[in-house]
Amino acid sequence: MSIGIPGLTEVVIPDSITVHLGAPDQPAENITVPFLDYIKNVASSEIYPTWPESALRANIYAITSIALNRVFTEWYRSQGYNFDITSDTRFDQAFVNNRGIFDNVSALVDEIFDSYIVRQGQIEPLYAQFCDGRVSQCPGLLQWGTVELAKEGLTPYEMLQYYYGANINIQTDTPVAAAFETYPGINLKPGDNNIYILLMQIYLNTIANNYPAITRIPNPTGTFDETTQAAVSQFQRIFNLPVTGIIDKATWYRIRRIYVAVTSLAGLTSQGVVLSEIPQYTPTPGPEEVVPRVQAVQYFLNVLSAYYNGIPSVDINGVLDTRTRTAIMEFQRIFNLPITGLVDEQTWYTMYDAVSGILRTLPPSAIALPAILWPGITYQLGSEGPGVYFIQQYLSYIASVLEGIPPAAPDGIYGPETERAVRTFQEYFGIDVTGVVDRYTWGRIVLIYRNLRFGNTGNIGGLQ
Amino acid sequence: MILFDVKKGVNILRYYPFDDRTYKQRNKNKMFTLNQAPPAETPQPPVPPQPPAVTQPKLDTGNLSVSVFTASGALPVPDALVTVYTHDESGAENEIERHVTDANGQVPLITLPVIYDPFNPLESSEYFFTTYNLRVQAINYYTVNIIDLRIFPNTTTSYQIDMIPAAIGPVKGPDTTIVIPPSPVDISND
Repeated sequence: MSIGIPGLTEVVIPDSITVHLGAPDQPAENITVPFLDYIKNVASSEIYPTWPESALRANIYAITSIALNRVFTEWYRSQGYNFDITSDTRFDQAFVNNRGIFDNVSALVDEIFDSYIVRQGQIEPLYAQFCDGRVSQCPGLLQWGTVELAKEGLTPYEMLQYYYGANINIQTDTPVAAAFETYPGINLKPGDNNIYILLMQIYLNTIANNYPAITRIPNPTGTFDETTQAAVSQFQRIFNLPVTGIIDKATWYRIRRIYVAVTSLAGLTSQGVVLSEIPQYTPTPGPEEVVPRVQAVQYFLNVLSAYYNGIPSVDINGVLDTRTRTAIMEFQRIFNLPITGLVDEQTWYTMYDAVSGILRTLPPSAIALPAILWPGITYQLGSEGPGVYFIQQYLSYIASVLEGIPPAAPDGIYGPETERAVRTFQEYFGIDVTGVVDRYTWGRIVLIYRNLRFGNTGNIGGLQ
Repeated sequence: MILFDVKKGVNILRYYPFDDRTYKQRNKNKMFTLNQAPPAETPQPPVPPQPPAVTQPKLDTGNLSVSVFTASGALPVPDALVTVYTHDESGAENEIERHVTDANGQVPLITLPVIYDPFNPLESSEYFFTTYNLRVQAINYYTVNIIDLRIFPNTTTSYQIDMIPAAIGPVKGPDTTIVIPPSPVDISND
């Protein structure tokens, strides 16, 4: 699986970057982090936040250029390593997993993370070597030197020319490689009305499932109203962005990222694997042998991957393929087990206990309901039972996202409130308004629920 | 095996031996409890006025922002205990701040003293910081320890803690102690 490594003709900002937490030849954890977070982390590790702003900017350009150079040239991957860059300052630049980030550095990186240094006439991002400049010297940027140059009034570009030569450019607005909607290039603000705002409203409503402080937007129409502004401000407060109530580039990408985290977690828990159904220890089958129980291991690995950035997600295909083995080995490394890539008894029980610990902490709101097939019963006023409960759960969620559908409190009893919600739903989606849930209405409720819950937003326009 | 490819890959000139004293030794002059007066307030002989901030410690403040999440930010961790400590030479910690996260995993912004120590060779009167320890504990999660986190004057340092649920049973979890190492530019801050 590729993470969007660009070809040789175009530089793109990767969605994420894999960092080896040690020297290239030393065994160490490989962790995958969003590119933006990587740059913030390196900048917070390499330089002081109290330096003049223009010095910080010059250093951030150099840091970004080195990272993009490593990705673009496939420096490590072409040597057979399965990472993009290391955290060892003898080889690359400093990175401290999970460290704190300085707010002013963070804001600067949000602004210029898609810019890098390039020699005029070239495509490749410059390997913008740097060193501290007092104890060690190098043919490149001197970190302390930028502080002096900033005090002399040089701009970041002038500083970079001073160190790397006059024939450089700063390439800005580099495309972001992502399989999702990229920032539209303009800030979204109160009074605006467009499809991007609709998208953000739906994302924020989904995130609000897990974050009670975020105001739900009852009417996601694509209009940036006061409720939207309140939700954006709350989001910014929680995720430590400048609280402006406006969706700028940094806010856009953070909303997108948290939305992905929320939906992928919800998606995992809806895959229908109930812990009690998972068999006890099962020996590892041979490679390429499809065994249903391998699917349980793959499911476990996916749950773990949502929590451990060293464990990659895998396809649930029942085959003990290379990627699954790699994920098993990363799991074994983290839990100090013999690194075999095989699921022996000890690995199985450790994995089982780790996943059980995760499921124990999940609140009901974070869990998405599976798509349940129509149980063959027609539900109407007076019906009771689990089927009614599911209808109410589905409709409650739909009501929280779409305007006009009244909520139905999930109690398992098909009362007037539930009937009203069903009628409104049927009217909304052009179904015969009967107030009765038959096979067709059941199917529509489940479909709409899943579209809204898992963000298949391509259908949103068509739904209304 | 490539060792020193100055042209492209290996930044050998950045490989210099760090000061081999421990972080605590290097920072020993700053290790005092906040209940005590900082060294600044020890009686000083009446001497002629000196250039400011050359020998005198300087007291400033910086902020620490802590948010507690799990699953890469998919969920907040409410009711987590967030504690900030100073630490003395022996490694003993003194608690100075304690907060509990709300339903959104948030605690109020924490303001902490930042003291310039003229006797610390790593610091200059212009660029200095103070280190603290941070601990985050929540039921059913592994505890996270951050050692030697840095607070700079008039700057907010943000920790977005990503907690990992504890495994059930006797399984030993991953190490969740993060030591903030010296920065490559520290040694030359004079």
